[in-house]
Amino acid sequence: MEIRVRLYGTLGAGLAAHDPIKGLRLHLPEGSDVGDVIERLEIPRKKVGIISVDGSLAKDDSPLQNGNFVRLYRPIFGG
Amino acid sequence: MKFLKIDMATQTITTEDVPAEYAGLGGRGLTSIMINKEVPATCNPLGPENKLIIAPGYLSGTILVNSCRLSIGAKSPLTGGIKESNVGGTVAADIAHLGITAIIVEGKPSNSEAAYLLKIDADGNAALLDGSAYKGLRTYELVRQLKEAYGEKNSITCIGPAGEFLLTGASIQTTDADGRPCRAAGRGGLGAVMGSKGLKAVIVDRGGKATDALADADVFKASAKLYAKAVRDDDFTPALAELGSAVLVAPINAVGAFPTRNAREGQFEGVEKITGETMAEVIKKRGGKNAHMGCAQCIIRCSNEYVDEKGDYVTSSLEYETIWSMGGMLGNDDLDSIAKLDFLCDDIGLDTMGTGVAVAVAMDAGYKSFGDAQAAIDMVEEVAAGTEMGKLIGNGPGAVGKHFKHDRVPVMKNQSMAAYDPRAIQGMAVTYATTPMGGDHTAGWVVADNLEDFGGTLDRFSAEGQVENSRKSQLHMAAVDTVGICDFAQSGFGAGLDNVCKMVAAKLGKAFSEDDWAALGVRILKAEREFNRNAGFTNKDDRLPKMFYEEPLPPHNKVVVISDEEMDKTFDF
Repeated sequence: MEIRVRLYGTLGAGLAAHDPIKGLRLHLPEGSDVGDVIERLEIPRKKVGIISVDGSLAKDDSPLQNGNFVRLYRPIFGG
Repeated sequence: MKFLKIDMATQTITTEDVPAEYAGLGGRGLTSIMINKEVPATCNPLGPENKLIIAPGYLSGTILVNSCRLSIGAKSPLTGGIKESNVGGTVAADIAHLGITAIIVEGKPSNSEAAYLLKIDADGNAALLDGSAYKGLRTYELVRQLKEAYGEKNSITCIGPAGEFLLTGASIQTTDADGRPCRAAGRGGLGAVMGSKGLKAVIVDRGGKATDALADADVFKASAKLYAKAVRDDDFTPALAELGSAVLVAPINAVGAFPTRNAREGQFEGVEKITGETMAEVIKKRGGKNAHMGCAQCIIRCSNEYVDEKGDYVTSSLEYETIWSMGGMLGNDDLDSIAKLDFLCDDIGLDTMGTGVAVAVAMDAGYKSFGDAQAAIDMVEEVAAGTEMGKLIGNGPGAVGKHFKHDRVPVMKNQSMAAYDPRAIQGMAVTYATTPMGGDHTAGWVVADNLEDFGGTLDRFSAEGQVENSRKSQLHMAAVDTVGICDFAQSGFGAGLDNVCKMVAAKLGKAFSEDDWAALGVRILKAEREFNRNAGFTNKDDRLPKMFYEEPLPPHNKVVVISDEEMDKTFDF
């Protein structure tokens, strides 16, 4: 299946394939979940805060389907 | 360690040593404790009895990084209660470098048309000068003319037309590291207090060499070094440099807590056009500046310079709260118009948050349509033009709601909420309702604590633990605002609270423990709440507007669930 991934904050820094606005596309085996995306992109897990799939909040074990749009946000701080 | 007292009634200036009761205080601790003691709580905020107190943080002017916050305090004409609004830029360090602990502006000139400039030279000598030639000027032009007259090497803290008109949404603007009046003590209408005293600008020489001596410079230096290292090493610091506070737009929208169209929804469908990521790309493409240094001694550089398609300056710095108030809150996904509105507010001397929410309430009441950016620009321009509509917008969302007989007005103690909807983050309901400041996110930012994905341990839709957590955060922030450390540099506390206490002790010349830090927070909140009680506030004022209890917020469709009894336990001391 093919999914679209968008990395927010500094998560996409150093990842050449990632366009800051459009994100990137990933091919994954059927049955993959969000955790597999994070692993594939080699992002340290603790750097990922909120996750959404097609606009709804998701977790590492949320299953994915062809055409999903996964957004990964970094943890926040401040005010 | 001296107070500079400016009596505007007689135009006399006196200097006095800081009395023992105020020793060890700076910033908010000093302004709030002094206002509670010296300003009659029931006074007219725009009358002669109110005092405008301008105080650098206790650690401002030292070598500590990101310690350049200036607190400005008074009785607020917006809330009717006590107010401290703090701002960055360069002025806090400059005042501290002159050995001045606070500038206290008292009284009121008998001629209500008078305008003065307060000029403080490199030796700390102060003079009140005739400022009538500068009356009516917007802040950018004012600063240009003042620099021409008095030299580039000054920090300028000033008001625009909104402050002169005594509007309760008026800000006090101050110059950034590039000398632009783009930093705002925005909240509480303090610009109107400054205007009521006939003070148009405070000009402070940037070359002072009389900083208070440290009792133990070696200990201070070692601790300051550790603090800076913790800021540098923090994972969030590079994100702030790259995207500024606008890094928050996308995740807060993702969790459904981004108040949209006057807080009718918690997610904005146009958000991708106004995220920090989009903003940073636009700035980069057009040749503006990300990772811009706005404040003295800043090592985070969360500021930016937003430019237009030709690469010409529009504003600095475009921030999360303004992107919300002039963007999502208005249903406006046009970043260029948001930047323009940010500039207009700085130039006219208005709080971007309260002003955006005032426009949102007008749109919600049917005066104009959501998404109409030009209508928003026109409404803000009307403030400077002094029209009836301009007066309403300049007096904030409460005034607009009253005029249109519209009750969807998201204010607490008549000050607008910030960019986190309390229905989606219950902890913010407690902070908004109970802080003596009125709707204010910086008083106790408990957003991350409420979001498991950000390491928080509280259920954001539940009341459990929210009161205790907000109390803890509010007490801590009162102390942070006293030492003058930037909110975004709190990552430096990663080196330990004891490390910060060591710096306070190293300046003070006596022990200052973590218990003293906690006690400082309690002392400040007690003073602020006492002032508000004396001004007529009761526990009924520690509530949210009914829209937050009655209207479920999409997409999670929750309401605020913190009971009145729980709210009343927030400050049970």
